[in-house]
Amino acid sequence: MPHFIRFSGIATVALLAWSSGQAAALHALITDRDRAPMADTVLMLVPTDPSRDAAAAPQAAPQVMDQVKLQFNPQVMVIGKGGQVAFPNSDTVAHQVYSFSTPKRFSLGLYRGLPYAPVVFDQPGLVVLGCNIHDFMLGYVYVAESPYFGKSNERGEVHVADIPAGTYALKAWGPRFKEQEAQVLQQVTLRGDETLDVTLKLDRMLSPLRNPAAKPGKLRY
Amino acid sequence: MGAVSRSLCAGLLLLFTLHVPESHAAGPHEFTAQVDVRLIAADTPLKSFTDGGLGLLLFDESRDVVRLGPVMLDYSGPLTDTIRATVTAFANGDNDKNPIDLTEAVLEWRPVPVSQWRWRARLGAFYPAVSMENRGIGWQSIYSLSPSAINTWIGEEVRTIGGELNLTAAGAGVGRPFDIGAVIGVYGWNDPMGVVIQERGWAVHDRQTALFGRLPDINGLPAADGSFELFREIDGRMGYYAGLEFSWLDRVVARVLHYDNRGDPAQFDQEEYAWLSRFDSFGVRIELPGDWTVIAQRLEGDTAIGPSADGRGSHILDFWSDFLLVSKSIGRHRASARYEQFHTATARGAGFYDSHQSGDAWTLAYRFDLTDSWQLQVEALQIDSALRHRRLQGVQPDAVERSVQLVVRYSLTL
Repeated sequence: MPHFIRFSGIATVALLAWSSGQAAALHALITDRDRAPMADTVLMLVPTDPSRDAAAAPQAAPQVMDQVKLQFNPQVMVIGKGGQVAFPNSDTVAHQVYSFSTPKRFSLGLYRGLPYAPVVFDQPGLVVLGCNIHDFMLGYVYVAESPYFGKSNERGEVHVADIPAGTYALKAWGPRFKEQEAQVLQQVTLRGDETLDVTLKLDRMLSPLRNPAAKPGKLRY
Repeated sequence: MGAVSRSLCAGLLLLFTLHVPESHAAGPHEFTAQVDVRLIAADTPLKSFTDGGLGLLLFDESRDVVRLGPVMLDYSGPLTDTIRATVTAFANGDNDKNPIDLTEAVLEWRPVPVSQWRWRARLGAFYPAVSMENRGIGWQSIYSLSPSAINTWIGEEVRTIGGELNLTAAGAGVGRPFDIGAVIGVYGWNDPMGVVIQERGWAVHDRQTALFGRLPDINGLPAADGSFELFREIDGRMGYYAGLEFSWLDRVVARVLHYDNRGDPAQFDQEEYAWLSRFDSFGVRIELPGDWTVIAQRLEGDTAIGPSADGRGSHILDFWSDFLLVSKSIGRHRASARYEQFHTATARGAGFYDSHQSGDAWTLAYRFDLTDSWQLQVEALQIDSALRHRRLQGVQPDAVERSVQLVVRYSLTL
């Protein structure tokens, strides 16, 4: 048995090396139960072989989640493990960004502009962001457990490129999910130099989005 | 190794302390100034309660003109990272005791949540969370110029001068679609509360009583010469309130509050009795798809004055009111319609003084935020009311009063 495992490991490494020049891509359309496109949905390809999970995300430049008109913008962001996010405040009022989610607990004292260094997210999972001044402000940083991820646009489309050939679990998470963890949708096997087109219909019940702050008018109470 | 990591930690901590508070806590102080010009057309057989009459409009026909509305000055800013000070002052321009006076002055403590349990504390002079409409700076309604009869009365007679503690289980951070919270408040300096609803009954307008100001010259008030101060302590007993709030995805917000000023109706301070005033308030606000908002609120209570064998007061007035508001916003525009009913009835001591009011009101309001600073509001109001003791002034108890206000408002936040 131990011998078999070692052999399989070598085979995978060989496969990775061989397919590195022939990466696959995934093009997905995410819809709800009524086939309406779902924007702001995080999609990840997680290798089913756990030994391949170690592949680190390439160190990307810090992402930016701005605060504009008392909202996080973008409201949903997906980054790789070890990814960095800057939280500038473009409003004239001060914000106080915090999270007590298990993957990342932090708080940025009251500020305007961009006084703080980007925040590093090194544990996978969902990080829910709030503003301690404006309780209705909500943002989400999803730290993906694999380097192959994307977020759907307004048309519900996600494109993930440079995926090594192999078998993956497709996992998704969105702010309307009742769960806080990404949910496995299905398994896909990708061959090199292939773009797989999939339509992912979420059969689950989704909760409505939170109500944004009332407009017009500056709210205090 | 231990020493190195300790000094590293200490160094980082020092850097952090130097880095965070000073430079950026200084920026977020917000000053707001608001002024408006009103074109007012009133149609009423009665003199306004602000002029010693028993009409329910803020402006009667004698004020059928262009006039300057209230001027508001507001400051809100952090004293520390988690303590915020807010001070609001209004100049109503109606010969109040002080030309400009405070309506609220409060310190709020908001520790940064480290779990779903969110603590809040307020200390100072402020409004308890009763209104579902008065959500803007200066506790102004964002839906109409004049809040409902219920919240007009809160603005006239109710203020917490004391402290409040709020604990909420906030769902957003843990993937639960609802929040549930509890609030308790303890306060004093609110003993004459009840005198307005007894003497004039409910009204619909946007004048808030200032902390050191006086009530308008309502007929029957003990010191209509201007020395009657509402916010003062007579019996040395603190009052309290306790409430619950439920919120689902910020789309449905429901509140209940029980309020009791624990006044001793037998106590008299040479000028005024303490009033024993209690009420229960129920409110719900629902945000519907398409930017529709529905608000419903009910408030019922009683107020008592004068010594009695059972300590409940020699004169007891029951009061209750409810309203339904529907509002629709489209971009910078908002249109709202509200219907309300209101009543008072003397439950004890009617032979001495029979206060009795029954009425309803329609409000149609339109608001347009031209820019962040300039705003246009139009409000049409019709109040149909019967107030029994209008007879004492030689006028008919029944009256239909109408007003239209066109308001151009400028507010600047620095």
